[in-house]
Amino acid sequence: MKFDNNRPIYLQIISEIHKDLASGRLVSGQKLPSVRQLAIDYKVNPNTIQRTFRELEGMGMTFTKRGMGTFITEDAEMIEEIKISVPMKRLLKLYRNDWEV
Amino acid sequence: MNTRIEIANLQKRYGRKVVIQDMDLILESGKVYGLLGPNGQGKTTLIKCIAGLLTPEKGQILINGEMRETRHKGMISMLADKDLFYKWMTVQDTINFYDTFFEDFDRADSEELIRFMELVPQEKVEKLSKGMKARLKLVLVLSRKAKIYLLDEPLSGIDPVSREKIVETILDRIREDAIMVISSHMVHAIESLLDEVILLSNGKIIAKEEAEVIRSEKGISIDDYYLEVFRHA
Repeated sequence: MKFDNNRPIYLQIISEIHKDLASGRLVSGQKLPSVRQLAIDYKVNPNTIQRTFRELEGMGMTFTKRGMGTFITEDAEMIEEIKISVPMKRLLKLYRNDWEV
Repeated sequence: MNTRIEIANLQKRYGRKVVIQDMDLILESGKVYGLLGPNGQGKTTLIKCIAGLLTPEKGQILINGEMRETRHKGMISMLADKDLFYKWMTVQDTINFYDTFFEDFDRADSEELIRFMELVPQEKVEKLSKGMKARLKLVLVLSRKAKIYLLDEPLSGIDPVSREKIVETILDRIREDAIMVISSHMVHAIESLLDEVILLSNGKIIAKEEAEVIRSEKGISIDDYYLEVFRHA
């Protein structure tokens, strides 16, 4: 995917993951790919992915099982919130563009 | 084991012209540094000093706390702007050459990279296009399991397809125990690779910033940041 180089890349990856949750491509309790794998998939530096993981965990969106990897939260309420927030953000963006025009 | 380069008070002159002046810089493993600046600002000279190809007049370069010596050359894998191949060599010959020369050369990895870069082992190096030659040079440099990678202009004059392949390969070879320094004036192409950005002007470091900090605090790309800084330099 192509990133907007004007915004921190880790934030853009987080919103990608939000979108994947909203669309159901990612589900509660699912294991995320490894840092290295995601770095290759997104074509970014592994440290950027590490940062993304740190932020996700800080937000409570993921949790780590020692030696097993990073998993999507099992907190159903939180996932529901994200699912709602994604289309909301998109709508807001649309409106904003409308106003600017 | 982690690797650390400490550069203190470094000065390098060519005759009367000072190319690097009073430079202090610390480089740590696990990070990718972009050494950026227009032509003639000292990027290549700095890389050559770290590699031990040039001797500075003043200052010191410490590698893991020790003065840089000849034996440190085994830790360093450098991509130079010059071609170092003999005319009779095929792609395979260059691999064999590197394999016998460098202890840390990973033959299996080199074969995988050759395939990924779509290089033909039987082909004569002389006959390769510029883009293919650049690919080969990168294969050789990254097939070594070095502690310090110095890539001097890996993308200049390279077509977009080769460029993408090169960036992807570099990305795949970033290791936690190694330092990677990439010099370039093609900022846009390497932007997503970089942890830290070092801007060089007239042999001095005029800025050293984390890539994500530039994006989040200034809200601009590294490419734009580069232009902003050098337009006023």
